[in-house]
Amino acid sequence: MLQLLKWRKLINAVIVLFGVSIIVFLLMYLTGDPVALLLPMDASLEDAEMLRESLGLNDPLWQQYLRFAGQAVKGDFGVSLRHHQPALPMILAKMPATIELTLAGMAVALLIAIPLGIITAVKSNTVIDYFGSLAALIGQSMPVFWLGLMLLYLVGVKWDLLPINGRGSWQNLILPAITVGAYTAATIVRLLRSRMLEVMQQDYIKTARAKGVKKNLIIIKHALRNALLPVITILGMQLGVLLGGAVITETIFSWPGVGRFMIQSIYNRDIPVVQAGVFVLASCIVIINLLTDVIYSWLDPRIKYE
Amino acid sequence: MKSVLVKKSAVLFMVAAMLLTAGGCNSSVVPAASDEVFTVLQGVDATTLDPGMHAEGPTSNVDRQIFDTLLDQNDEMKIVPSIATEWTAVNETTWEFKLRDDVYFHDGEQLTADDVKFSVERILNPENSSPQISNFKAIKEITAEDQFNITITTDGPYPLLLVRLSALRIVPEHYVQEVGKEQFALQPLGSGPYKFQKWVKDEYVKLEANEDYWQGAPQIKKVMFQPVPEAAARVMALQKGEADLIVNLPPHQVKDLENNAKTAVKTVSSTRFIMLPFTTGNSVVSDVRVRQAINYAIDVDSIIENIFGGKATPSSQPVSSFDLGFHQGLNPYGYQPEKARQLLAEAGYESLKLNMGSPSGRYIMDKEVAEAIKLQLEEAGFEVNLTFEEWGNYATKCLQGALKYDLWLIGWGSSTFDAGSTLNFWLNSSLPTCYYQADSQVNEFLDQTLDIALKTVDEQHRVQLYHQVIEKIYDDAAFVPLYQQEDLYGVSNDINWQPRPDESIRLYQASYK
Repeated sequence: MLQLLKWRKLINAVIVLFGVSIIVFLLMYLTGDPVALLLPMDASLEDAEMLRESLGLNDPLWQQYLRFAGQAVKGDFGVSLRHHQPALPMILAKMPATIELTLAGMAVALLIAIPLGIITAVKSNTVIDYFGSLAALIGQSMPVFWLGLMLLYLVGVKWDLLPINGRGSWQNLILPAITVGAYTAATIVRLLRSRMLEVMQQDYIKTARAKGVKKNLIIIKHALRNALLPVITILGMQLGVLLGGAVITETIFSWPGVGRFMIQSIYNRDIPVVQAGVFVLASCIVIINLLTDVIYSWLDPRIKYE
Repeated sequence: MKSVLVKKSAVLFMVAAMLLTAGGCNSSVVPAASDEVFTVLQGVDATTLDPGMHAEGPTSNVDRQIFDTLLDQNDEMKIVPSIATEWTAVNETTWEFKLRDDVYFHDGEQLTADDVKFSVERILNPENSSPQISNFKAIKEITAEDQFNITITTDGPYPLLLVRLSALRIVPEHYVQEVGKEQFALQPLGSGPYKFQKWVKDEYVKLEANEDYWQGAPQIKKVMFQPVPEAAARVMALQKGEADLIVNLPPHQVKDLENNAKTAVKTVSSTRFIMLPFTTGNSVVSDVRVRQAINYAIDVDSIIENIFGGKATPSSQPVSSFDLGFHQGLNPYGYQPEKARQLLAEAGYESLKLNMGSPSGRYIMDKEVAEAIKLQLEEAGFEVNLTFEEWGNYATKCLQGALKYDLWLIGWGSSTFDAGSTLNFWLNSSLPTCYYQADSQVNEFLDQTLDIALKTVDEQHRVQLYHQVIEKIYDDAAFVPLYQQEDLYGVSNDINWQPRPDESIRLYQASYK
């Protein structure tokens, strides 16, 4: 039965990927002509026509889609209209930078959020709680571009502690990781705090307390364990979003990730690259969702596919 | 029993941390920009380093260091010798060029007539889908007479040939044949002042001086181009000393750099101008008095002063001041709100509803300019409905003749330095981009005059014909010419470098102080 359900999930995933590819394909064609953007504006109509013909953009849409899909299942997404390189390898080459930033951002988020979430819940309605909750509120409502530029200016230029552009050493990673992690951290703090407060009211916590179990043990072993479950869900979702590229952060810090590359390709209507990118990212999200489900049932044995 | 959950969470966390460190170790290390590496920050990376397969400014700025062009343009945009030292027009359609015999590619092979022929023919080959094809398609045949002499035949009189050839980068036939087109785009080899060293996409392109360059070794030995999309980040990098030259400086940051002892601002009048074409097929702007009223209602000087800090020039015609055919004798309409109201009243309107369109983020401060124009028009009695569109969508519609706004904002930079291509693009009534569909007599006059002009090789006569066209559309207020942009660059005070009006960056002419 479990096997069957897993298969069903996999088939669902394939249908999702297929649907996404059709939607993206149509949207790209409906909103702009790649040839218009590729040629200098004063190019003649005949030249535009010739280029369109040679790129196969004059065929009926369904033919173009079938041609694309036929090649795509073989892993060939075509050649970028701008870069004259195969599209899929170009996207894959950007993945390490994106994964690096995503994981670093997640690490920052967890390092801040878990302790803060616990403390604000345990010390609820004290000064610590007020400050912690305020910090979380600020973190969540602060625009990413503002935080990024502030960090860039203060840490990068004014105090001159870290490099401000590009990727390479671990120093380059710090500021973008904080920028990416801040929002996630704030979300988790607020979520964890309210879940912890809820859990702490449960009867089994009262029982444990009545038995004389030490407070720290109750918090870590009984309360946190139950409060963490929704955090895993949020983490999974955030991971998916971030793998799609933290576009704003990547732009501010000139981080060579997938997001920035995709945005440029969308602006240029570089259809093969966008298709390959969407496929890779949709796959990532589908896989993460599957993994989240698995981890969820591993952490909480009560949750089963049934 | 310790909490299983905590243990399991810890395992997950460790796995994540390990992946992270692994990622960190694998990545290449960019050296911090030291005094030795001349760092140029542009908004985007090169898309390809094959100079024949793109039509993009930022990409040209990189490949222009690696490759030589057949001819060149000096700082005043006049044609000067480069690889070709002499040229003669044998007749209206045949040109002969004599090449230098002391130019070598970076691998030591000599540059010959065959390489020039190959460089043109690969652009013209439809299989290569080169976006430059329209620049060279007037070339019917190119023949290598011997190692250093070529003859070019065009399929009709083509006055723009020399300008086009001054953008033709010469690629080595032997190398392109050997490694293939795809590899050439990643590992280019040219004969220019700088040799290609390394390109990590979206991170940097590194170049080093070609000590054997035929014009002499460049003074700056190491160069790095880095893409930094955010303008504020480019400025900070310059202030911090991590960059030597940055492009597209936002006008409001000019003062910051001018006040900083380590940095300076360089400006040059650009070939790009911004204007508002009218869609005269729409009844509201079909009356010339309404179009004139709109011209009088817009205060271009105030826009230049308040949005650009004075860094732009008002323009009177849809032609750049660098173009052959620019009409010196015409002044901008000027801001005369009373006259605007009067003309509007004469046309029979008390108030008039206009639909206006503009891209956002495509040109410097375009959104701010469009919003200012809306307010100024509203003060003069118009009612303006302003819509912003994403550039890709907007450009596509513009080229298809499908923009429906009564007036709309667009920028234009001619690559030919000749008014003909621009005027023909916007006024040839058989093209979809002719939004000025006036009465048939006017359109016929414009079509005929332009048609003759484009085939006239004699410059003086050509200019006269262009002037007739420009005067006609000036009187008819077919456009609202706004301003000619100034390109703003931020530079480190340690370097000598001058910007050019064609937005091209020439590092060969740069040096350290």
